[in-house]
Amino acid sequence: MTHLDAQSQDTRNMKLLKFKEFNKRIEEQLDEAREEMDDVCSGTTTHVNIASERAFQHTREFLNEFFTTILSLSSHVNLTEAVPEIMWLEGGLGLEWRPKGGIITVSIYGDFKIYIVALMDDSNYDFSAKFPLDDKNILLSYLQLLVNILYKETTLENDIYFKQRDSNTIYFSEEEPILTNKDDSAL
Amino acid sequence: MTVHYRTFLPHKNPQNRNEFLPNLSVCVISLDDGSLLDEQEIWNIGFTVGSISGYTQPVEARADISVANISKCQLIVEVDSNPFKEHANIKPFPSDPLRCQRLATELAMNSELRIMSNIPT
Repeated sequence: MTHLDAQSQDTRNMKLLKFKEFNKRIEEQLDEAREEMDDVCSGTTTHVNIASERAFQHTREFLNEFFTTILSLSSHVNLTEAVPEIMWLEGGLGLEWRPKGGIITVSIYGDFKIYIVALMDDSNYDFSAKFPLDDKNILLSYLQLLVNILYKETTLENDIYFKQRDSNTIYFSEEEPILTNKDDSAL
Repeated sequence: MTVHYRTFLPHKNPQNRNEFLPNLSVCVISLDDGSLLDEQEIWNIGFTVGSISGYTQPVEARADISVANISKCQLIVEVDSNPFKEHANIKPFPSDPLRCQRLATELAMNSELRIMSNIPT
């Protein structure tokens, strides 16, 4: 193994470790959101709009793509900045990041759509959008925008954010499947 | 002031964070004049409304949103006293989920997080 091969393998291993840690934190928060939802459902007789299994699944899928995008740009990422606050919303799940100068929220209801709102002091990054989860090109462009906002004041270079992922990019969902094909109708 | 309660703490540096996105239909109260109630009384209301709303876990955190900031979003606070005396609704939220989310995000950005464990004993 050459020095470059070893270095590449180290980077790959570091990214894999970060991906595992990211997933661990996400699953912990999803468990808490489910616990809160179940708590309310069991304690009330009034109708409660729960988040469907599909909403949980789409949240995992979205965050998997999100973190893959981050890792494709740099292995030196701050996990604390990347992990959103996850909460149960009526009928879905909400994600929230608090970058310097604003707030970003994502709502996922399991309808194959992503709803994103960014309210930032810098009007260039102030937007609202709804887009299909399964359109990878649109998803990627919004993910890169999201990453750009989250990390614009960190040590990463701005010019790398909009670089497209190429064939050499490590794409962890292929190596370590965290998605399943579960469908709401099958549950 | 309106107050939103939550039974889980925000995960990241809760003391330094402003707020979490309010779950707009759960545990909302309106206090006509917050200055008349001390912190403990506001928390006590939270414990009561939490149980009425179906929560079995104790309230851990809350978000305070001023009526002024609600007005800035072209929303109003409407007291309806149902299912509990202090309950109020923030309205009118649009039916479009994205516009609704934008307003909720604005409210979250302009709210103040309070953590139960930070109350001086």
